[in-house]
Amino acid sequence: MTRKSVSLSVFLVAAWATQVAAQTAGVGGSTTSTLAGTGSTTPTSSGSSTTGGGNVQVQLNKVGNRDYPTPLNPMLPVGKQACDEGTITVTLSNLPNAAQFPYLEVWLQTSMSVECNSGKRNTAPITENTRCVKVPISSDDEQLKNKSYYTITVPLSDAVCGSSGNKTLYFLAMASQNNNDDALYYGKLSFKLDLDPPNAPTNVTGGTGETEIELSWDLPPTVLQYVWTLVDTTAVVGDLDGGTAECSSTKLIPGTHFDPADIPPEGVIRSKKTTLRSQEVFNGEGWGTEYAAAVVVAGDQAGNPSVLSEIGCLHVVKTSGFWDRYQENGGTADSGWGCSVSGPQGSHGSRRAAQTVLPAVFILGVWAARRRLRRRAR
Amino acid sequence: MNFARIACLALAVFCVTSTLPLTAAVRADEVPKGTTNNQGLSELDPHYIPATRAFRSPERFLVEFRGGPYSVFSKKAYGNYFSDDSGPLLSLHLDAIAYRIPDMLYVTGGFSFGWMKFSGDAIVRDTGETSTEETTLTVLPMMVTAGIRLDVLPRRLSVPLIFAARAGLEFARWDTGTGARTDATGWAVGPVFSAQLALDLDSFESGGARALDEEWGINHTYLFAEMLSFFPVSKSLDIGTTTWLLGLGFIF
Repeated sequence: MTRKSVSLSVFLVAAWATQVAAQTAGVGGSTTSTLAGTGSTTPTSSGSSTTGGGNVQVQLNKVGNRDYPTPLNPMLPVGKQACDEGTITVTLSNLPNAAQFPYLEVWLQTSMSVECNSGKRNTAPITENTRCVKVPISSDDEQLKNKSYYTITVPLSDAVCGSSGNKTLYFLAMASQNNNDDALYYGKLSFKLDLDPPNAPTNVTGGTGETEIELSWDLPPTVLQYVWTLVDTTAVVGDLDGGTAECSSTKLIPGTHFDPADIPPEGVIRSKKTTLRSQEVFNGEGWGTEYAAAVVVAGDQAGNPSVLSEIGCLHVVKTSGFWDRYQENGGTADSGWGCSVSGPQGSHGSRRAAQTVLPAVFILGVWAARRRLRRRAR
Repeated sequence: MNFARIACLALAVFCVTSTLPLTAAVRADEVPKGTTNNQGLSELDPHYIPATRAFRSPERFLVEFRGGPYSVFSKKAYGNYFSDDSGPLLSLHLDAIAYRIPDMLYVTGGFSFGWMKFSGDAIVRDTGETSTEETTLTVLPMMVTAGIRLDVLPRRLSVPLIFAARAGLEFARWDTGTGARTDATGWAVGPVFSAQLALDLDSFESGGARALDEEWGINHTYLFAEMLSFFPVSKSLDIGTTTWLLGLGFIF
């Protein structure tokens, strides 16, 4: 083969490889993902299935008292609240015959060098529980039965919740309760435990208004999932500490812990947003106060809330807009075909007008499309 | 050696065929075997459309997309809320062609629908200071117009300028509010006039224009600038003004 033909071959192979790579990226570049700590892959459409390895399917259903959110790719971390509530609930399926393998054991992997399905998980001379730690489950859950699936509650002990990081639980279907036996049938559940709350939002600033009072803030530069706002409509005018703040609150103390499960104190309005934002608008008409104290709490993907932010004061005042000024200056627009309908209105004219015109545009589009099709047919 | 050459050749053929544009492949499929690809030629280069084939589709409508600045209450005492806001006005106009002298003029009638919104800071009633709340005015102008359109210059003299004028009535639905509160709503009605100078795009790319007509039934395309004047009657909210708009229009 001549040098020229070799060069041509290399060029063509490179062109072909580039094209194939481009097609692959365009079609299915993100259709699979690897679950953390497992090395296995699962389609993104797998819902809440978390097969982590082995031949037993393991699905995480509940974290604490709450359903585990979907979709799971990338897997959402498990937060401190789950540890406080103390349990997770999983469903096992594809289990072996319970007559031959009647015992279920749950082990937490503590050393990446040892797989907990192996008989080495707890063998001397290695000190017990340094490779894998057995997680106690109820005696009823320990006895497997012949069922297509099996739901058990796993306590989150200190061994699991002691520190943040990737955790892997092994679910072993055993023929005996000998801790040194290899497990022929097992499943893995890997998840990330995040016990560290995000920082609180900063630069919380309240606006002035009547029906749309703006509260704005800066979010901390971490990956977040939730924003809570709390407004104390019984705020104290002026600073409790004698400072220059316009308002303060005895119910919302900056820097204190926030528990999403708590019922807010009387007079405090709480809202939770799952779309991240750096401002919110409040209607202060019914508050009956001149100042309201507002704080913001950021929540990360694991649901860990930050502490309460600094206070932003919402100043509730009567405002006047264009129409007030228009009338004060002798504006004479009235009813009829130069008409005005004064006073609060429930709906806006723009919606009604759009309802009239959009069907006409749609009909025109259909007519144009049919005309084009007829022309093409000819 | 021979095997390597054959493999190289096969790879070359694969690469070339797979990188050909998809449209070309489709066109090739449409031509029956054993015939000349005249259709393909004409689509690739509109100048090769056979002379016997009619390419002028019927002209029935005009549609225009337009937008431009729009200021309200500029000399009024209550106009300072929106003094820094110039809309813009965005509008869609549809005309039916009532009468046509070929290559000379159109007589049209139609309607348009538009949108514009103005906003400014509301003020604190007691102190007169600026609040963080907004006061807004939203206007939905709808017009019914009749018009005349002269296209004799581009059609007969190859000068790509078109003159048009319209007159009619505007019905502008408006609502104004402060914060989440709607203060008032109503209609402003009055005569509206417009004069348009358009640049005929067909004159610059006649082949493309014919292809557009063949494929979509769009006879003519033009860019335009328009002066628009609205004179609301005295009891209407005085949102009338004279302003200019730019847009793109199609005759189909």
